[in-house]
Amino acid sequence: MAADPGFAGRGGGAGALLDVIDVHGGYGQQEVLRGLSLEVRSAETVCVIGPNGAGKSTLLKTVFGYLRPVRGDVRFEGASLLGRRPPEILRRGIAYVPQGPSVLPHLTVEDNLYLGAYVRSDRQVRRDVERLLEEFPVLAARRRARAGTLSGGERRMLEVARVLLVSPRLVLLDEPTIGLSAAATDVVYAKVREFHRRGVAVLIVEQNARTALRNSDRAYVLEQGRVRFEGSGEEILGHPDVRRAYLGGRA
Amino acid sequence: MSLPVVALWIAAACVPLVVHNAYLMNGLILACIYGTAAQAWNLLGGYGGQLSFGHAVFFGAGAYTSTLLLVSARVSPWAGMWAGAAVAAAVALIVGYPTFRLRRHYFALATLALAELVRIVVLNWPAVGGAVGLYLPVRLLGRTDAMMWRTKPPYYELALALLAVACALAWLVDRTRLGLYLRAVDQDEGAAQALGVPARRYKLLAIGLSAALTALAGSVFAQYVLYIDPSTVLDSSRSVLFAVMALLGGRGTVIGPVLGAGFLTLVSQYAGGALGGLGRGYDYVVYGLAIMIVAVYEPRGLAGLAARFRRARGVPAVEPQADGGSGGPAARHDAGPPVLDVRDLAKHFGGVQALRGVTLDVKRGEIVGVLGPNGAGKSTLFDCVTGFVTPSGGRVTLRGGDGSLDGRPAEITGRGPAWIAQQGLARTFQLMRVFPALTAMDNLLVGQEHRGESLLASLTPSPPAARLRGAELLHLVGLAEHVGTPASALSYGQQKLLSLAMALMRRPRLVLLDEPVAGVNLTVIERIKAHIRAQNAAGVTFLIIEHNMDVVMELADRLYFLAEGRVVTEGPPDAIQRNEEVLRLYYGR
Amino acid sequence: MELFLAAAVGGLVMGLIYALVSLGLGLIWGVMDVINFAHAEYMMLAMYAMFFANRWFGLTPPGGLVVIVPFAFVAGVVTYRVLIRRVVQAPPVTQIFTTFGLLFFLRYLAFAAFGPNYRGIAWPAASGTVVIAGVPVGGEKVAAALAALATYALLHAWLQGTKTGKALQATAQNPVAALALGIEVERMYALAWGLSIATAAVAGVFLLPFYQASPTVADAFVLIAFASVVLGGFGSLLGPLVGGVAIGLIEGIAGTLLSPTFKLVFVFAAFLLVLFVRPTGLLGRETP
Repeated sequence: MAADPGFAGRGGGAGALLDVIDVHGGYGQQEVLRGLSLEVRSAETVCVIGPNGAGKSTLLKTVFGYLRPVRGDVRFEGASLLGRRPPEILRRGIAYVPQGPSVLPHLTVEDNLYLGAYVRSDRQVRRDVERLLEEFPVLAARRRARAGTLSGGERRMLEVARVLLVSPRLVLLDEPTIGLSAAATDVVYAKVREFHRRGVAVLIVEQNARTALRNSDRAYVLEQGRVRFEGSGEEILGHPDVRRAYLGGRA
Repeated sequence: MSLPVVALWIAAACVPLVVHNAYLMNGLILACIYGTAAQAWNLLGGYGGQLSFGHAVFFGAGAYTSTLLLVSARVSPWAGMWAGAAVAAAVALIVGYPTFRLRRHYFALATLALAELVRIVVLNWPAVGGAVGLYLPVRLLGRTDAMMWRTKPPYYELALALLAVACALAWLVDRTRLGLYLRAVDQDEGAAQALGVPARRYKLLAIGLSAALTALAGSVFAQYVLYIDPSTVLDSSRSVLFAVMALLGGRGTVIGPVLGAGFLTLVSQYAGGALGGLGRGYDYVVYGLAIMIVAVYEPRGLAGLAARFRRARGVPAVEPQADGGSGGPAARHDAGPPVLDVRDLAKHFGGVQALRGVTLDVKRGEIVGVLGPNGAGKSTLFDCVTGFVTPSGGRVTLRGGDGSLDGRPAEITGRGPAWIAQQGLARTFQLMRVFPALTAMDNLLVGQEHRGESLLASLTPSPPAARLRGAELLHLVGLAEHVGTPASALSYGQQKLLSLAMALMRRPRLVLLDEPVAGVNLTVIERIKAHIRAQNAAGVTFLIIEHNMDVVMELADRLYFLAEGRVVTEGPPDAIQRNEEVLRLYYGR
Repeated sequence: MELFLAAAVGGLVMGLIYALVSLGLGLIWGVMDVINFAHAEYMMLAMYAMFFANRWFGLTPPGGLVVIVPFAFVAGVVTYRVLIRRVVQAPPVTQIFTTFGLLFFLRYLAFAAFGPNYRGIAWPAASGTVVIAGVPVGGEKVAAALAALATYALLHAWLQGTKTGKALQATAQNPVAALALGIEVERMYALAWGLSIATAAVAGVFLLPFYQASPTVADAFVLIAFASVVLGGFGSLLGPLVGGVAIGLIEGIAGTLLSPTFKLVFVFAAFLLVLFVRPTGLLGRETP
């Protein structure tokens, strides 16, 4: 693992599922990402940690097409995603769970689940939704309730669970455990481990870093729009410099 | 006012000497009357951004009041028209007060409803003429003291004079602080309030003036056509006409409503005739199309198109003086009562508890940082302190509120943002806010001293001291050559520097900065850091929310760490860096 | 008492018709937060379309529906794609300005094309009276009220029962999330406009047998439509329905019992009151 603060991380390796190549950009004219490169390989779980303002959420929004980079490229399975809108990107096999609440509050839990399969037109949707409900009895018990009445943890469960309905090859999770209790966090990460088992790659952005690191194959530490460190989850977990990335100061 | 403009008015006044065609004279008189009303509409809708679709109610108020006074009490219209203006202004204030805090659409709808309501009432009220209307006493024709003449030229001169007054008023608004503040409020009311501009007061002034002027036009109209009824002076088509004239001609400009009125009245008068029997509204179809095009592409209408061909006005160079500091004694780490004292501040939004009893203080001369993860309540804290959000509990006290450094503390809990800003507190926003259509200098001028600024004073241009201060600050942040550039044309980093300068205009004693270096490149980050240090050295106290750890650790004397709505810990930067709990909260379980 | 009943029944019937006129307005307002000042102008154009459908082809409202509503839907989509799309993100003043220009354009187009005269049609099949709770009501009005109920019911069923309907609701509630689920938000907006204008057309088609068409007919309805949406509140289909019926009742009851000439005054006064006191409306669950 490189400890050089200027290290930009690897990118462009052959066989990478997702390749973020020297991306610069942000909202409108803002400069948030300043030459960020990273990659996610097939069936990997990668987490991106770092302090606020480092560009974590901006990264995901850029990958998923909400924002357009000023410079650089984002490639998925070899093809560039630039200029594509979120629904197209979803259809290519990437699912995204935004940071804020993304359940539709005035629709039922069941409706929310069915909408998770919006881009599908096959007949198995019903069967898959029922299976999901079996897996989450908490949601099944509230299936007719308005999703806005769910607790924060339940909502998150719903959002993360319904992702599998579209069989993505890569899932983007934007701070999935923010504001959640320890128990709810565990449920979310149990789902992440399940993605892993099923061979779905996951890119998680987290502020609560430790749990994410424990559950990831590899990790990147972002600071001020660039990759500062990269390594396996365990390596990053134990590294003293990472702490400084969060709270400033130099070695 | 420039010479060509004066010459134009004089030429306009001489028109009756050369024009004898009654049809044309009629058109000119109506153009002037409607133009006055359109200009009046422009004061509120053009500068203030509050589109009214019920201005006929003011037009009618003027017409009916002066006519009733004439008919039943023999009051001369020269006096009666002022009574009409007063009535209209009163109605305007009553309507404006509750609706100005709502979104723009609601104001438009409320004016529409009001006008219709009044029209129906008058239509069915025999005492004021009802559906039959009111006839002005023709026996008075030829008597100037009754504002009635047998020929058109005197009416023309009167209408022209009224239009001149309207344009003078618009010109005054345009060139003075009132216009500046109205435009700022139109573009971003919250940002204007954060700079101390009492938004509602100026909007009320605008609607009062607008209503009064429209009423004057209505009175003159009545005196000219000699007959009024609800369908001619209170109808929604009148309201629409005034709005369309101002919109097409160019809202927010002085010449716009005049262009619009002239165009619509005269061109349609003749286009209708020229198209023969086809004059069934084809021209209005074009106007409708024009309005849509203007709305989407050139909101300044005809005047805007003209402006594109005109060179930008040269901006006078202002020599900046010395530093842009507050001029107070350099007082760092001054022991003494805190400048800002927050106790047990609580805020809940519906079921969400954003702040759970936050207590902190900021001493004079300090730079205090506020850290914390997302959702900790940092911005809510700022909003509560600066009056954008009313706290659910707790107290916020500002010291030095009456202007002196050791003055008595002022409790600012729950007060409005403009008032709080006037007590010497300034802020910036996380989502950076500047006034996009105003020049850099104007952006700063919105932030000039507002305490004690009377309504009358707002009708004067910004004082030289304010301009000088603005120039100083522009020079300080490196935007001196952008004095006349609209803020929307500046880069993000430049806008960020501008918003910092805006906060410093009034030499505040306490500045709250919400993520001052977010989203900018490293060069700008260094410059902003340097400015904060320099200002602090000159005596300005800072409370800063920031995630950029390098910046925070370098600048701050003390830090508060917020999480889940409360203060978790507090201390100097190196202590916070070593604090395990902080790390856990940031770094996670 | 009978007077009260007559007023209430009459008010209810008219209220349902007002609810139909406001439906489309409320839909757009709720889905994309745009207030279409020109909404009633489309209703006016539909009235003229019905008039000519009747004059040239002998069609009555049911037949007129079949022919006119699809056109209206397309008109709505076109309006969105050509005009509204450009101002969705614009400040309120620009939006007001734009739909106001549209109002102007459509109205004077009607003036130019049809002239200022009033046009009406006869609908023999519905020309009798229907007795509701002992109160006789004109057949054409009852038909219009029934059309209103049917439209609401159909739209409700569509919104709740179809995938696209749910997707439209999702777009209204959280466009960012909708995009993440693969919903094409732009297409949903265009769809909403199509539906909005289509419902305005239904209102126009059924209005003509008892309310004459003229280029300015929208004036009588535009304020009432806005008042219905504001009064009823945002966020659900029920809002304009409740608001429209409430307005109809206020107009009918206050008009009959207090003063017929001032019935609209009561309506507008109620509207202003709601605006000042509770802008979210009776059922409002979202901030306007």
